[in-house]
Amino acid sequence: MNDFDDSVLRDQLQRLGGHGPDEAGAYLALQQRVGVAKRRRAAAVVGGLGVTLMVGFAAAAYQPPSSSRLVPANGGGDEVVLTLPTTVNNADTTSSSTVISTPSVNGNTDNGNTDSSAPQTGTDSTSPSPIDVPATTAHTVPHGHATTSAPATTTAPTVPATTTAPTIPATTSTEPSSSSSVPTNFTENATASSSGGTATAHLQGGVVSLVSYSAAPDHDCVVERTLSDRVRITCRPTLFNTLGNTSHLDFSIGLDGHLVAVSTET
Amino acid sequence: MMNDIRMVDDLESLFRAHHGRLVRALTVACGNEQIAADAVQVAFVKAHLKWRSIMSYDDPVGWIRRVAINNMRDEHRRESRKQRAVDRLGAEPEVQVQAPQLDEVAAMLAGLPRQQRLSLALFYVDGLSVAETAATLGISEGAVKFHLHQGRSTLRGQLGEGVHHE
Repeated sequence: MNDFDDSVLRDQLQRLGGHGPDEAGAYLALQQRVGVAKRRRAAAVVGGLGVTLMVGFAAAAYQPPSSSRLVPANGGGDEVVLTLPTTVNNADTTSSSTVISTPSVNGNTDNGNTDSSAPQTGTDSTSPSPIDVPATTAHTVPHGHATTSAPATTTAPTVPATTTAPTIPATTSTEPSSSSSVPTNFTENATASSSGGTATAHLQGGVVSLVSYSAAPDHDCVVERTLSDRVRITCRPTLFNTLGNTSHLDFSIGLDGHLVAVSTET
Repeated sequence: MMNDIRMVDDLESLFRAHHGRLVRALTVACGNEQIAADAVQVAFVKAHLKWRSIMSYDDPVGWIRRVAINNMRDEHRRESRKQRAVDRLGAEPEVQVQAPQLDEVAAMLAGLPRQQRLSLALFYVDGLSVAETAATLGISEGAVKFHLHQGRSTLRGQLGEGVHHE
């Protein structure tokens, strides 16, 4: 027997509570409210998903202004690497004295010479070069500076018809295993071609030298810059040729120490 | 599919067994049948939406009862804030459309503290034991006995011969 059992008080309170609601009607009302709550919850889920997707897209599309943009070392956003070294001869240590030294400019540009038999290896000092290479110009370009050699015009690049797929030298396996620093002991030649002409450069001991260059018909080629680590030849249409493009043939040392040839047309 | 139907059947049987009694108990506690019915129905809606987890509880009805009491308290606080705001503005108090028809017992109940009203309602109207009432209100059994004793003493003193101890 509970100490708090009090039938009179129980009756009074139960009478005060009333008869209670209609159970059937209350259950119908409950089902309606459950339906409304479910629809509201589904709408909230869909809305939340939509907001999440929008935030995700916005975050993906947002590019912070401080993010770095990759720019080629010589600043030419329109440059296309056309050829890689065609011949690598690490063992050749006698060719440096036969190739690098070149006479000064004599002004003779052989416009009609499109001889493709220009020396590819640069080891034959007795073979005549189609054009004499001028001496080093007065341009001083900081190595690795991004903007000093940017071309003045920024038209879209045009890939010449003579482009070839980059070929990996077969002798790269003979590179020294200690690759913590850039190797400089490669000896190789590279040729770059464009609609304005063709040029060949030689790399040995970390020094890039021009071997030969020849202009295409109705074009003139001049050596614009010759530094120890890069060479640039510019080929322009002759006075009576208004259809051609100005092209640059650049040779420089790549990050892997190999000679890189780049042809740019504007 | 069969499980869903069985779940709904379970909830419906639970609703039909406990809904009316719970509404009556909360009506005694708050003095307004409309508020009590709404609080209980909202509790059943919440139970319906998460019935898969609630059905595994030891006492699903206890969960629904506690939610209903919390809803009733929230409604009471809301009404109190609303009344205070009206008082601050100096406006005429809002006339309640369905003012509770308090009889003598209801008037005496309204003068009791809230915990005493709830204890009396759950014990005498909903038919809970002292332990169940304590678990529902989140207080100790001793506190429930104290509230029951105080509530009965107050009502007995005011009703005189109408309420007597057996």
